[in-house]
Amino acid sequence: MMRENRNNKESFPDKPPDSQGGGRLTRIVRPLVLVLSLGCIAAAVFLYIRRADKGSEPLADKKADDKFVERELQIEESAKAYNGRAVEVAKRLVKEFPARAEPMLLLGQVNYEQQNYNEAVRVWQQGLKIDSSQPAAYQAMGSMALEEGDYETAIAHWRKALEVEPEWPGARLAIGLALMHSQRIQEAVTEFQGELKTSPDPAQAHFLLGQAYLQLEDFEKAREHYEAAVQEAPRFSSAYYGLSRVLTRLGQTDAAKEALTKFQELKAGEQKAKREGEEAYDDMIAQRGALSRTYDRAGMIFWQYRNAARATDHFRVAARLDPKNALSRLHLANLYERQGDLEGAARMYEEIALAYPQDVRPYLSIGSMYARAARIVQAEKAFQRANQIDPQHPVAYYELARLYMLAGTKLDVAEALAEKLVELAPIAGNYDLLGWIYHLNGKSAQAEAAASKAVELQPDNQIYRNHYETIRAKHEQ
Amino acid sequence: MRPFVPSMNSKPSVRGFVCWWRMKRVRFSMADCRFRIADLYDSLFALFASLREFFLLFLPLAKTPRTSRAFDRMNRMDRMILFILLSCLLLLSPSLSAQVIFKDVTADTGITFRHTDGSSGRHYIMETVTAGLALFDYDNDGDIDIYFINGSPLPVASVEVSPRNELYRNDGGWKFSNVTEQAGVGDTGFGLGVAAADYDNDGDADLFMNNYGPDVLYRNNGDGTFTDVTKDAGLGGDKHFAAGAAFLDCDKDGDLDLYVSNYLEFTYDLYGPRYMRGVPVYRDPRQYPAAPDFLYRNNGDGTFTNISEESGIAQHRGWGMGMVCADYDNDGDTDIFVANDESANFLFQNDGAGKFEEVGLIAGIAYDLHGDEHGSMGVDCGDYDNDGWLDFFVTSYQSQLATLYRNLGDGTFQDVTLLTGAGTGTFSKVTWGNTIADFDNDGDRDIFIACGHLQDNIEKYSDSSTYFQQNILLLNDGKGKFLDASNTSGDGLLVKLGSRGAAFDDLDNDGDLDAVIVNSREKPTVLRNDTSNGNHWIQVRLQGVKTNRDGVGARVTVVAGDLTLIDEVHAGRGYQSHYGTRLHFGLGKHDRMDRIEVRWIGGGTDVVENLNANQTVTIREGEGLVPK
Repeated sequence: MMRENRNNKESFPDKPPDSQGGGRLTRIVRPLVLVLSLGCIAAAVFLYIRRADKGSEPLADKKADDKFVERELQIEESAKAYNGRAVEVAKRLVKEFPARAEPMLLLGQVNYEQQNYNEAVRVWQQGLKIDSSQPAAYQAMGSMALEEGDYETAIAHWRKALEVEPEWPGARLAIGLALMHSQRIQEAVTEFQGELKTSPDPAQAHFLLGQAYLQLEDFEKAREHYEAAVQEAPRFSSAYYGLSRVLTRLGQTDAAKEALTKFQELKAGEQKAKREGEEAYDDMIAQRGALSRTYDRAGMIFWQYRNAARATDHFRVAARLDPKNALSRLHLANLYERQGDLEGAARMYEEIALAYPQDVRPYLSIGSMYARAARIVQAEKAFQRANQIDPQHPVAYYELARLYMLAGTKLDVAEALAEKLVELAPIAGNYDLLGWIYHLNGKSAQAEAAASKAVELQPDNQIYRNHYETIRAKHEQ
Repeated sequence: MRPFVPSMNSKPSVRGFVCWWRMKRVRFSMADCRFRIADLYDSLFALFASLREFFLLFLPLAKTPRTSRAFDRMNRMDRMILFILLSCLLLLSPSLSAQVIFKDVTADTGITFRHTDGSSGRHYIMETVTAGLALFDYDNDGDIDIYFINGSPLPVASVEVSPRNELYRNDGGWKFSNVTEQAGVGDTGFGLGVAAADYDNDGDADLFMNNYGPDVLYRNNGDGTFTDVTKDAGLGGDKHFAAGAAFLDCDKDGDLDLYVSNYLEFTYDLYGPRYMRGVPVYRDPRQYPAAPDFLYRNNGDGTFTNISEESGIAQHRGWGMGMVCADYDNDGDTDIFVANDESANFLFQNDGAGKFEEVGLIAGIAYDLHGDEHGSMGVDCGDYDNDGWLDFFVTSYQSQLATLYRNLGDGTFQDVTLLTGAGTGTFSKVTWGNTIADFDNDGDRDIFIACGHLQDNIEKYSDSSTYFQQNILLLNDGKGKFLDASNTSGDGLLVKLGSRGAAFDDLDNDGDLDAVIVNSREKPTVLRNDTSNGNHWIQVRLQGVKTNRDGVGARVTVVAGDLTLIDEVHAGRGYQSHYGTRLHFGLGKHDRMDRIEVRWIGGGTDVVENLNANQTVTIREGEGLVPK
C-alpha cells in the first residue's frame, strides 16, 4: 500500500493525490462507502427492531443493566447480612450458655428458618444431647424429614416428641399424615383418633379422620368426621370439600352441591388472601422481621436465665428492627412494668397500636398503664379510642367507666357506660361496677339492685358482698 | 442387544465371578432372556450401591467385641468368601426387582440439541417453564423422529448463535441426524409447547408450536419438508403466552381442531424480579393475571377460526400449563383436561357438538384430596387399573404430591395418590413431563415423571432441594400399587438434571417404550428401554378415512384372554409435549390377542381378531388390518 502510494506520487509529482486518479477512485468509493454505511445502519435498525419485537420489549441499555446488577447485589448482600447476624446472635448465646439446650435450639431454629436444614438438624441433635426433653426440636426435625419425603424418619422424630411430652399438640396428626403418605391408612386412623382424645382443637383431627375413612371407602364414618370438623371450625374449607366428595359417593347429590358451594365461597376468600399476601411480600422486610424475631427469642432466653438487662437490650434491638414486631414490644412493656416504669410500658403499647391500628388490645393496655400512672387524660383517650374501634368490646366500657369512677369525674358518663357494659356482658363484676357508680351518683335503689345482681351471680365473692352491704346500709339510712 | 461373552482367559476376580454367576442365573431362570452388557453394568451398579449401604448400616451394629474378634481371626480368603456370599445375596435382591432398565444413550445418538431458556438473570417467568418436545414420524418411514422446542433470548440476554427448534431424523440404530435446515422447521420464537397431527388429512404429520409470542403452524409437504402456513391458516395472530397445545376433533366433523392453553398475561414493565432471602427468584404465576385459553375450529380448508367464546372455553381463566384431550366419560366425544398452575384444574366436558362445560370441581379433579390447588404442570391419561376408564395423572410443585385421579366411571374422580403410592418420591421435587404407560409390557401401566426444580437458585437459599433432580419411575404391581423403581432401573434413571418436557415412544421399534426428556439449559436425555423380561406387546397405528387421518380421539380396546386394555390416540399431552400417536400395549405373557376394537371418533367401529403379539399393526378405518 505504501509502495503504491509512493509510486503514484512519483508518477504525478505535481498534483495533489486526490485531484485526478485519486479523485476518480474517491468518486467510485464514496458512494460505495455511503451505500454500505446506509446498508449497515438499515441492518442494525432491522436487527434491533427484530430483537425488540421478539422480546416484545425494547432492550434495556447498558447503563440500566448495570443498575439492575448493582441493585441485585445490594439486595443479596443485605439479606446475607441479616441472615448472618441472626446466626451470630444465636451462636453468641450458645457460647455464653454452653451447658444449656435452649440457645442450641434457637440456633437450630434460625438455621431452619433460613432453610439450612442439614445444619439445623446437626445443631438440634447437639442440643438434644444436652437436654433430650425438647419436643419442639423433634417436631421440627420431623417436619423437615416430611418435606424431604422421608416419612419413616419423620414418624420417628414425632414419636420421640410424644415420648417426651405425651400430649404434644399436633404430633399425632403429623404421624398420621406421614403414615397416610406411606399408604398405611389404617394406622393413620389410630393416630388421628389418639389426637382427637387429647386435642383442644379437634377440627383438624376430625378432618383427617374423614380423609382416611374416605380412602378406606368407609363413607359413613368419613361423613361423620367431616361434619364434626365443619361444626368445630365453620370456615374450614377443606372439610367442606371432603364432605362434598363423600356425599357424592353416598349419592346425596343436593347435600354434596351445598357443601361444594360453601367450599367455593371459602376457597375464593382464601385465594384472594393468598394472592394479596404474595403481592405484599417484601423480602427485605421479611429478612429484617426474621432477624428481629431472633433477637426477641434471644431476649427471652436471657430473661429466662434472669438477666433482665441483656434481655431488655435484645428486645429493644428486635423492636427497632421490625416496627411490626408486637411480641418484642410486649416483652419490653412487661419488663418496664415490672420495673415500675409504667409510662415506658405505655410507650411500647403505643408502638404496637401504631403498627396495628385496628386492634383494640394495645389501646386497652395503654389506657391501663396511664390509669395506673395517674395520667387520666391519656388513659381516657386510649380507652375512648378502643371504644371507637370496637363499640361492642365490653372491656373498653368497663375500663372507661372505672376510670371516671376512680377519678370521681364524669360520673354521669360513667353511669351510661356501665349500663351499656352490663348489656353487653351481664356478669357479676360488671354489675358490681354499675352498682357502685349508681351509689356514687346517689341512685340508691338502682345501686342496690345492681349490687344485689352481682352477689346473686357470684355469691362467693366477698368484695361484691361488701359492696352490696355498704350500698344497702346507705340506702337504708 | 449384544450377547455377553465372558473371556475364558480372564483372571478370577469378584467382578468376574459376579458376571459368571449372573449369567448362569439368567440362563437358568429365564430361558428366553437375552443377556446384555447393559444389564450387567446395572446389576453391578446396584450391587455396589447396596453393598456400601449394607456395610454402612449393619457393620456398626454388628460390631460387638465378639464379632470383632471373630472378624479379626478371619484370614484374607475367609473374608473374601464372606464378601462374595454377601455380594451374591445382595445382587439377588435388587436384580429381582429391577424389571425395567433404562440406559442413557444420549451421547451416542448424534443429537447435539441444547435447550436455552433465554435467561439473562432477570428471572422472567417464561424462562423456567420452557419447553416440551414431540416424538412423531415426520417422514412416514416407520420410525419415530424427535422435534425439540427451544427458547430464545429474552431482553438483555445475549447469545452467540440464535437458538432454534430442532428436528432430528431417526436413522435407525439409535442414530439421529439434524434435519432442521432441510425440513425448514427451525422456528426461532420463544417455544413452549408442541403438538403434531395431520390437520389437513393429507397423510403426513404437521406441527403446531405454542410460543411466548406468535405461534407457528408448519404444514408437512410430504417430502421431508415443511411450510410455515401460520398466517394462511389464520393462526399466530393472537400474541399470547401459551403453554400446552393439543389437536382434537371437538365437533366430530372429521378434521382436527386445535386447543391452546394459555399461561398468563405477561408484560415486561409491570413485573420485576422477586427475592427470597436476597436471592432473585421466579415469581408466583398468581402475581400475573390469568389468561383464557383458545379453541380453534378447523374449517376443513386449511384455515382455523377462533371459537373460544361460542364453545364455552373463554369464560374460564386459569394459569394453563400441560393438557390432554380424552374421552373421560366414555360418551364417544373428546373432552379436555387443562392442568392449571396454582389454581383449580379445568375439565371441559364436550356435549358432542363442540360445546364445553367446565366440570372440574364437580368431577373432583380440580383440586387434590384435601381440596388444595396444586402448581399443576403436566398431565397424561391412561387406564392404570384396567377398568375401561381413563385415569389422569397430574404433576405439580415441591411439597405437593403429583396426583393420580382414578376415574370412577360415573363422571367423577377419586384422588388415589395416597392409596396407590402414585406420588412416591414427588413430594420433595418439582415434577413436569409425565406419562401413564407400560414400560415393562406386563399388562399394566406404570408412571414416569420428569423432575427438576423451577427455581434455578434454589440451592442459594435452601438446602431442602436442588435444581437438578432425579427422574422417577413408578412400577405398577398390577394390584393397584405403584412401587418406586427409580434407583434400580438403570443408569438412565440416575441422571439428575432440570427436566421439563418428556416424551415416550418405541424409538428402536423393539416393542418397548423409550424416553426422550428435555432438560432446561442442558442437552436432552435419551433413554433406551433395555428391559428384557419376555413379556409380549402390540403397537397399533390408526389410519382414519372418514374421520381424521391420524385417528386422534379414536378409542382402541385390546383383548387378550383375561386382559382387556384401552387407550386413545392423543395429539398433545404430558408437559407441553407430543408423543404416542402409535399406541403401545404391554400384553404380559399373552402371545396372542383375541381382538382389537377401534371406535373411531364420530365414526364407526372396526374389529380385528386373532392376532399375534410382538408386532406393529396398522388399522384403517372401514377396512381393518392393513397388510404389511
